Amino acid sequence: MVRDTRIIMGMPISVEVVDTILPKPIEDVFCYFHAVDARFSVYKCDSEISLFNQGRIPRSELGLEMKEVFALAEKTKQDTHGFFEITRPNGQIDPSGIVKGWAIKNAAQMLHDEGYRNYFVDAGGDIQAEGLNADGENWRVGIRSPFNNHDVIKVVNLSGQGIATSGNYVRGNHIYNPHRANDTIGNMVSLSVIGPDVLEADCFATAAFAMGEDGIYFIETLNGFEGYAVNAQGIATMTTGFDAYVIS
Amino acid sequence: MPIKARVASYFLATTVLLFPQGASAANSLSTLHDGSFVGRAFDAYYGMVQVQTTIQGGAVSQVKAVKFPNHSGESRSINRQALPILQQEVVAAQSARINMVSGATLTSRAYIASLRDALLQASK
Repeated sequence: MVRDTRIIMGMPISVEVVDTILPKPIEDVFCYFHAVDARFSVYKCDSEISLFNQGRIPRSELGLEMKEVFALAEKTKQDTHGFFEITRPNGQIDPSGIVKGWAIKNAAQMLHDEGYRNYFVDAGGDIQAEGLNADGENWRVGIRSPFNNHDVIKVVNLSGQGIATSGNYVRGNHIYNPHRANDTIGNMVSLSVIGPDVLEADCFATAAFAMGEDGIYFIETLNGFEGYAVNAQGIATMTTGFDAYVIS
Repeated sequence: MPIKARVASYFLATTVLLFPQGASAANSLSTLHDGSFVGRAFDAYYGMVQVQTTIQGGAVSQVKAVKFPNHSGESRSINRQALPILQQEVVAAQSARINMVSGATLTSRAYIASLRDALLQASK
Protein backbone atom coordinates (compact mmCIF):
# COMPACT_ATOMS: atom_id res chain seq x y z
CA MET A 1 0.00 0.00 0.00
CA VAL A 2 1.28 3.48 -0.85
CA ARG A 3 -0.30 6.76 0.16
CA ASP A 4 0.81 10.37 -0.10
CA THR A 5 -0.60 13.91 -0.01
CA ARG A 6 0.62 16.95 -1.94
CA ILE A 7 -0.66 20.51 -2.26
CA ILE A 8 -1.54 21.05 -5.93
CA MET A 9 -4.12 23.42 -7.46
CA GLY A 10 -4.26 25.15 -4.07
CA MET A 11 -5.64 22.13 -2.27
CA PRO A 12 -4.45 18.93 -0.65
CA ILE A 13 -4.53 15.98 -3.03
CA SER A 14 -4.28 12.52 -1.49
CA VAL A 15 -3.83 9.24 -3.30
CA GLU A 16 -3.75 5.75 -1.86
CA VAL A 17 -3.14 2.63 -3.92
CA VAL A 18 -3.59 -0.60 -1.98
CA ASP A 19 -2.34 -3.07 -4.56
CA THR A 20 1.25 -1.85 -4.91
CA ILE A 21 4.27 -1.01 -2.79
CA LEU A 22 5.84 1.17 -5.52
CA PRO A 23 5.56 4.97 -5.46
CA LYS A 24 5.14 5.22 -9.27
CA PRO A 25 1.33 5.14 -9.54
CA ILE A 26 0.79 7.96 -7.06
CA GLU A 27 3.65 9.97 -8.60
CA ASP A 28 1.90 9.62 -11.97
CA VAL A 29 -1.29 11.00 -10.44
CA PHE A 30 0.48 13.99 -8.87
CA CYS A 31 2.21 14.73 -12.21
CA TYR A 32 -1.17 14.63 -13.90
CA PHE A 33 -2.67 17.15 -11.44
CA HIS A 34 0.31 19.49 -11.99
CA ALA A 35 -0.34 19.33 -15.74
CA VAL A 36 -4.05 20.07 -15.22
CA ASP A 37 -3.20 23.02 -12.99
CA ALA A 38 -0.78 24.46 -15.59
CA ARG A 39 -3.53 24.35 -18.21
CA PHE A 40 -6.69 25.25 -16.27
CA SER A 41 -5.71 27.50 -13.37
CA VAL A 42 -7.30 30.94 -13.47
CA TYR A 43 -4.78 31.87 -10.75
CA LYS A 44 -1.88 31.45 -13.24
CA CYS A 45 -1.63 34.20 -15.85
CA ASP A 46 0.08 31.95 -18.41
CA SER A 47 -2.34 29.01 -18.20
CA GLU A 48 -4.28 28.12 -21.34
CA ILE A 49 -7.55 29.29 -19.72
CA SER A 50 -6.01 32.63 -18.72
CA LEU A 51 -4.58 33.19 -22.21
CA PHE A 52 -8.02 32.38 -23.63
CA ASN A 53 -9.68 34.83 -21.23
CA GLN A 54 -7.13 37.49 -22.22
CA GLY A 55 -8.06 36.94 -25.87
CA ARG A 56 -4.58 35.67 -26.69
CA ILE A 57 -5.82 32.22 -27.79
CA PRO A 58 -8.91 31.98 -30.02
CA ARG A 59 -11.53 29.36 -29.19
CA SER A 60 -10.66 27.42 -32.36
CA GLU A 61 -7.08 26.91 -31.19
CA LEU A 62 -7.92 25.58 -27.73
CA GLY A 63 -6.52 22.16 -26.84
CA LEU A 64 -8.68 19.04 -26.87
CA GLU A 65 -8.81 18.88 -23.06
CA MET A 66 -10.08 22.47 -22.82
CA LYS A 67 -12.71 21.80 -25.47
CA GLU A 68 -13.77 18.64 -23.60
CA VAL A 69 -14.16 20.57 -20.35
CA PHE A 70 -16.15 23.33 -22.07
CA ALA A 71 -18.46 20.71 -23.60
CA LEU A 72 -18.90 18.98 -20.23
CA ALA A 73 -19.74 22.30 -18.60
CA GLU A 74 -22.37 23.02 -21.26
CA LYS A 75 -23.95 19.60 -20.78
CA THR A 76 -23.97 20.03 -17.00
CA LYS A 77 -25.58 23.44 -17.38
CA GLN A 78 -28.43 21.80 -19.30
CA ASP A 79 -28.72 18.89 -16.84
CA THR A 80 -29.03 21.29 -13.90
CA HIS A 81 -31.54 23.78 -15.31
CA GLY A 82 -28.84 26.41 -15.72
CA PHE A 83 -27.61 26.25 -12.12
CA PHE A 84 -24.17 25.16 -13.29
CA GLU A 85 -22.38 27.98 -15.13
CA ILE A 86 -18.68 28.51 -15.87
CA THR A 87 -19.11 31.87 -17.60
CA ARG A 88 -18.83 34.70 -15.12
CA PRO A 89 -20.93 37.86 -15.27
CA ASN A 90 -17.85 39.67 -16.64
CA GLY A 91 -17.65 37.20 -19.54
CA GLN A 92 -14.56 35.42 -18.24
CA ILE A 93 -14.59 31.64 -18.22
CA ASP A 94 -13.70 29.91 -14.95
CA PRO A 95 -13.89 26.14 -15.36
CA SER A 96 -12.65 25.44 -11.79
CA GLY A 97 -16.08 24.15 -10.83
CA ILE A 98 -15.79 21.25 -13.25
CA VAL A 99 -12.04 20.72 -13.64
CA LYS A 100 -11.48 19.24 -10.18
CA GLY A 101 -14.00 16.42 -10.58
CA TRP A 102 -12.91 15.85 -14.17
CA ALA A 103 -9.26 15.56 -13.14
CA ILE A 104 -10.04 13.17 -10.26
CA LYS A 105 -12.06 10.96 -12.60
CA ASN A 106 -9.23 10.92 -15.17
CA ALA A 107 -6.60 10.20 -12.50
CA ALA A 108 -8.68 7.27 -11.22
CA GLN A 109 -9.08 5.98 -14.77
CA MET A 110 -5.31 6.28 -15.23
CA LEU A 111 -4.75 4.04 -12.19
CA HIS A 112 -7.33 1.59 -13.52
CA ASP A 113 -5.59 1.50 -16.92
CA GLU A 114 -2.29 0.75 -15.18
CA GLY A 115 -3.93 -2.33 -13.67
CA TYR A 116 -4.73 -1.14 -10.14
CA ARG A 117 -8.13 -2.00 -8.67
CA ASN A 118 -8.05 -0.81 -5.05
CA TYR A 119 -7.36 2.88 -4.62
CA PHE A 120 -8.78 6.31 -4.01
CA VAL A 121 -8.01 9.77 -5.37
CA ASP A 122 -9.03 12.70 -3.15
CA ALA A 123 -8.66 16.27 -4.37
CA GLY A 124 -9.76 18.86 -1.86
CA GLY A 125 -12.38 16.60 -0.33
CA ASP A 126 -13.88 15.27 -3.57
CA ILE A 127 -13.10 11.58 -3.89
CA GLN A 128 -13.24 8.66 -6.28
CA ALA A 129 -12.96 5.38 -4.33
CA GLU A 130 -12.42 2.06 -6.12
CA GLY A 131 -12.21 -1.49 -4.81
CA LEU A 132 -11.39 -2.03 -1.14
CA ASN A 133 -9.21 -0.40 1.51
CA ALA A 134 -6.10 -1.97 3.04
CA ASP A 135 -8.30 -3.83 5.54
CA GLY A 136 -10.32 -5.41 2.74
CA GLU A 137 -13.40 -3.29 3.47
CA ASN A 138 -15.26 -0.75 1.41
CA TRP A 139 -13.60 2.64 1.73
CA ARG A 140 -14.79 4.50 4.82
CA VAL A 141 -15.38 8.15 4.01
CA GLY A 142 -16.16 10.81 6.59
CA ILE A 143 -18.25 13.85 5.72
CA ARG A 144 -16.66 16.91 7.29
CA SER A 145 -18.70 19.08 9.62
CA PRO A 146 -19.39 22.48 8.08
CA PHE A 147 -19.25 23.91 11.62
CA ASN A 148 -16.00 22.45 12.89
CA ASN A 149 -13.16 21.55 10.55
CA HIS A 150 -11.98 18.76 12.84
CA ASP A 151 -15.30 16.94 13.14
CA VAL A 152 -16.87 14.32 10.92
CA ILE A 153 -20.67 14.25 10.98
CA LYS A 154 -21.32 11.15 8.89
CA VAL A 155 -19.36 8.08 7.84
CA VAL A 156 -20.28 6.32 4.60
CA ASN A 157 -18.81 3.30 2.82
CA LEU A 158 -17.97 3.50 -0.85
CA SER A 159 -16.63 1.13 -3.49
CA GLY A 160 -16.76 2.10 -7.13
CA GLN A 161 -18.31 5.49 -6.37
CA GLY A 162 -17.41 9.12 -6.14
CA ILE A 163 -18.39 11.59 -3.42
CA ALA A 164 -18.25 15.37 -3.58
CA THR A 165 -19.19 18.01 -1.05
CA SER A 166 -20.13 21.58 -1.82
CA GLY A 167 -20.41 24.08 0.93
CA ASN A 168 -19.92 27.48 2.26
CA TYR A 169 -17.98 27.34 5.46
CA VAL A 170 -17.61 31.12 5.47
CA ARG A 171 -21.35 31.45 5.74
CA GLY A 172 -21.34 28.61 8.24
CA ASN A 173 -19.49 30.89 10.63
CA HIS A 174 -22.40 33.29 10.60
CA ILE A 175 -24.60 30.97 12.60
CA TYR A 176 -22.48 31.90 15.61
CA ASN A 177 -23.22 35.58 15.14
CA PRO A 178 -26.24 36.46 17.29
CA HIS A 179 -26.83 39.71 15.37
CA ARG A 180 -27.32 37.93 12.08
CA ALA A 181 -28.99 34.77 13.34
CA ASN A 182 -32.22 35.35 11.47
CA ASP A 183 -30.43 35.87 8.16
CA THR A 184 -29.32 32.29 7.88
CA ILE A 185 -32.42 30.33 8.83
CA GLY A 186 -32.96 27.60 6.33
CA ASN A 187 -29.71 28.29 4.51
CA MET A 188 -27.72 25.30 3.42
CA VAL A 189 -24.10 25.13 4.50
CA SER A 190 -23.01 21.75 3.13
CA LEU A 191 -24.26 19.31 0.51
CA SER A 192 -22.59 15.96 -0.19
CA VAL A 193 -23.44 13.87 -3.24
CA ILE A 194 -22.54 10.22 -3.86
CA GLY A 195 -22.70 8.96 -7.44
CA PRO A 196 -21.18 6.53 -9.92
CA ASP A 197 -18.29 8.88 -10.55
CA VAL A 198 -16.89 11.91 -8.81
CA LEU A 199 -17.19 14.21 -11.83
CA GLU A 200 -20.97 13.94 -11.97
CA ALA A 201 -21.24 13.91 -8.18
CA ASP A 202 -19.19 17.12 -8.05
CA CYS A 203 -21.16 18.89 -10.77
CA PHE A 204 -24.49 17.96 -9.23
CA ALA A 205 -23.32 18.88 -5.73
CA THR A 206 -22.18 22.28 -6.99
CA ALA A 207 -25.40 22.98 -8.88
CA ALA A 208 -27.64 21.62 -6.12
CA PHE A 209 -25.86 23.75 -3.52
CA ALA A 210 -26.56 26.82 -5.63
CA MET A 211 -30.28 25.87 -5.53
CA GLY A 212 -30.33 26.40 -1.78
CA GLU A 213 -32.94 24.38 0.12
CA ASP A 214 -34.24 22.88 -3.11
CA GLY A 215 -30.91 21.26 -3.89
CA ILE A 216 -31.46 18.03 -1.97
CA TYR A 217 -34.81 17.56 -3.74
CA PHE A 218 -33.02 17.97 -7.07
CA ILE A 219 -30.57 15.20 -6.07
CA GLU A 220 -33.57 13.06 -5.06
CA THR A 221 -34.80 13.22 -8.66
CA LEU A 222 -31.51 11.87 -10.08
CA ASN A 223 -31.16 8.13 -10.65
CA GLY A 224 -28.00 6.68 -9.14
CA PHE A 225 -27.22 9.71 -6.95
CA GLU A 226 -27.75 10.20 -3.23
CA GLY A 227 -27.25 13.31 -1.15
CA TYR A 228 -26.82 14.59 2.40
CA ALA A 229 -27.54 18.28 2.95
CA VAL A 230 -26.85 20.24 6.15
CA ASN A 231 -28.43 23.59 6.95
CA ALA A 232 -27.14 26.39 9.14
CA GLN A 233 -29.11 25.07 12.12
CA GLY A 234 -27.29 21.73 11.99
CA ILE A 235 -30.25 19.80 10.55
CA ALA A 236 -29.39 17.28 7.85
CA THR A 237 -31.75 16.18 5.09
CA MET A 238 -30.93 13.01 3.14
CA THR A 239 -32.23 11.44 -0.03
CA THR A 240 -34.23 8.22 0.26
CA GLY A 241 -31.36 5.91 -0.78
CA PHE A 242 -28.60 7.59 1.23
CA ASP A 243 -29.01 5.25 4.20
CA ALA A 244 -27.61 2.35 2.19
CA TYR A 245 -24.15 3.98 2.32
CA VAL A 246 -24.18 4.96 5.98
CA ILE A 247 -21.82 3.33 8.50
CA SER A 248 -22.56 5.80 11.27
CA MET B 1 -13.94 37.48 20.68
CA PRO B 2 -12.94 33.83 20.80
CA ILE B 3 -14.93 32.78 17.75
CA LYS B 4 -13.29 35.39 15.55
CA ALA B 5 -9.86 34.54 16.87
CA ARG B 6 -10.45 30.89 16.15
CA VAL B 7 -11.65 31.60 12.64
CA ALA B 8 -8.69 33.89 11.99
CA SER B 9 -6.15 31.40 13.24
CA TYR B 10 -7.73 28.61 11.23
CA PHE B 11 -7.63 30.57 8.01
CA LEU B 12 -4.15 31.87 8.65
CA ALA B 13 -2.94 28.33 9.14
CA THR B 14 -4.68 27.38 5.93
CA THR B 15 -3.09 30.32 4.14
CA VAL B 16 0.36 29.04 4.98
CA LEU B 17 -0.71 25.57 3.92
CA LEU B 18 -2.09 26.72 0.59
CA PHE B 19 0.58 29.23 -0.35
CA PRO B 20 3.79 27.53 0.75
CA GLN B 21 5.94 29.41 -1.80
CA GLY B 22 4.06 32.65 -2.29
CA ALA B 23 2.92 33.37 1.24
CA SER B 24 5.09 36.42 1.64
CA ALA B 25 2.39 38.12 3.69
CA ALA B 26 1.83 35.11 5.91
CA ASN B 27 5.58 34.71 6.36
CA SER B 28 6.17 38.27 7.45
CA LEU B 29 3.37 38.94 9.89
CA SER B 30 5.74 41.01 12.05
CA THR B 31 5.83 43.68 9.32
CA LEU B 32 2.06 44.12 9.03
CA HIS B 33 0.84 47.68 9.39
CA ASP B 34 -2.04 48.48 11.70
CA GLY B 35 -5.40 49.23 10.14
CA SER B 36 -8.23 47.55 8.28
CA PHE B 37 -7.56 45.99 4.90
CA VAL B 38 -10.14 44.65 2.49
CA GLY B 39 -8.94 41.95 0.13
CA ARG B 40 -10.06 41.72 -3.47
CA ALA B 41 -13.30 39.78 -4.04
CA PHE B 42 -12.78 36.25 -5.36
CA ASP B 43 -15.27 34.08 -7.14
CA ALA B 44 -16.30 31.07 -5.08
CA TYR B 45 -18.59 29.80 -7.84
CA TYR B 46 -21.71 30.31 -5.72
CA GLY B 47 -20.92 33.99 -5.57
CA MET B 48 -18.20 36.41 -4.58
CA VAL B 49 -16.24 36.13 -1.35
CA GLN B 50 -14.36 39.08 0.11
CA VAL B 51 -12.73 39.44 3.51
CA GLN B 52 -11.56 42.32 5.65
CA THR B 53 -8.73 41.91 8.11
CA THR B 54 -7.91 44.21 10.98
CA ILE B 55 -4.30 44.51 12.11
CA GLN B 56 -3.55 45.74 15.63
CA GLY B 57 -0.05 45.95 17.04
CA GLY B 58 1.31 44.25 13.93
CA ALA B 59 -0.88 41.18 14.39
CA VAL B 60 -4.17 40.07 12.90
CA SER B 61 -6.89 40.86 15.40
CA GLN B 62 -9.93 40.14 13.26
CA VAL B 63 -10.89 38.58 9.97
CA LYS B 64 -14.42 38.89 8.71
CA ALA B 65 -16.23 38.19 5.48
CA VAL B 66 -17.65 41.45 4.08
CA LYS B 67 -19.11 39.71 1.05
CA PHE B 68 -20.25 36.12 0.86
CA PRO B 69 -22.70 34.08 -1.20
CA ASN B 70 -26.25 34.26 0.07
CA HIS B 71 -28.94 32.24 -1.59
CA SER B 72 -31.83 33.19 0.66
CA GLY B 73 -33.52 34.98 -2.25
CA GLU B 74 -33.00 32.07 -4.62
CA SER B 75 -35.93 31.27 -6.85
CA ARG B 76 -37.69 28.02 -6.10
CA SER B 77 -37.33 25.89 -9.19
CA ILE B 78 -38.44 22.59 -7.68
CA ASN B 79 -42.06 21.81 -6.93
CA ARG B 80 -41.81 20.31 -3.47
CA GLN B 81 -45.45 19.20 -3.48
CA ALA B 82 -44.50 16.52 -5.99
CA LEU B 83 -41.54 15.21 -4.02
CA PRO B 84 -41.33 12.83 -1.08
CA ILE B 85 -40.71 14.05 2.46
CA LEU B 86 -37.05 13.38 3.06
CA GLN B 87 -35.62 12.02 6.28
CA GLN B 88 -33.97 14.57 8.56
CA GLU B 89 -31.64 14.34 11.53
CA VAL B 90 -29.63 16.59 13.81
CA VAL B 91 -25.97 16.36 12.84
CA ALA B 92 -23.57 15.04 15.46
CA ALA B 93 -19.84 14.35 15.52
CA GLN B 94 -19.00 10.73 14.66
CA SER B 95 -16.04 8.78 15.97
CA ALA B 96 -16.03 5.81 13.57
CA ARG B 97 -12.73 4.93 11.88
CA ILE B 98 -12.31 6.59 8.47
CA ASN B 99 -9.92 6.40 5.50
CA MET B 100 -10.52 9.90 4.13
CA VAL B 101 -12.80 12.91 4.45
CA SER B 102 -15.11 14.66 2.01
CA GLY B 103 -15.56 18.38 2.56
CA ALA B 104 -15.95 21.62 0.67
CA THR B 105 -12.93 23.63 -0.45
CA LEU B 106 -14.18 25.99 -3.11
CA THR B 107 -15.43 28.84 -0.99
CA SER B 108 -12.56 28.59 1.42
CA ARG B 109 -10.10 28.91 -1.47
CA ALA B 110 -11.74 32.18 -2.50
CA TYR B 111 -11.80 33.24 1.16
CA ILE B 112 -8.11 32.51 1.53
CA ALA B 113 -7.25 34.28 -1.73
CA SER B 114 -9.07 37.39 -0.51
CA LEU B 115 -7.47 37.17 2.93
CA ARG B 116 -4.03 36.79 1.34
CA ASP B 117 -4.69 39.89 -0.74
CA ALA B 118 -5.70 41.84 2.38
CA LEU B 119 -2.55 40.69 4.20
CA LEU B 120 -0.37 41.71 1.24
CA GLN B 121 -1.89 45.19 1.43
CA ALA B 122 -1.21 45.30 5.15
CA SER B 123 2.45 44.35 4.58
CA LYS B 124 3.15 47.08 1.97
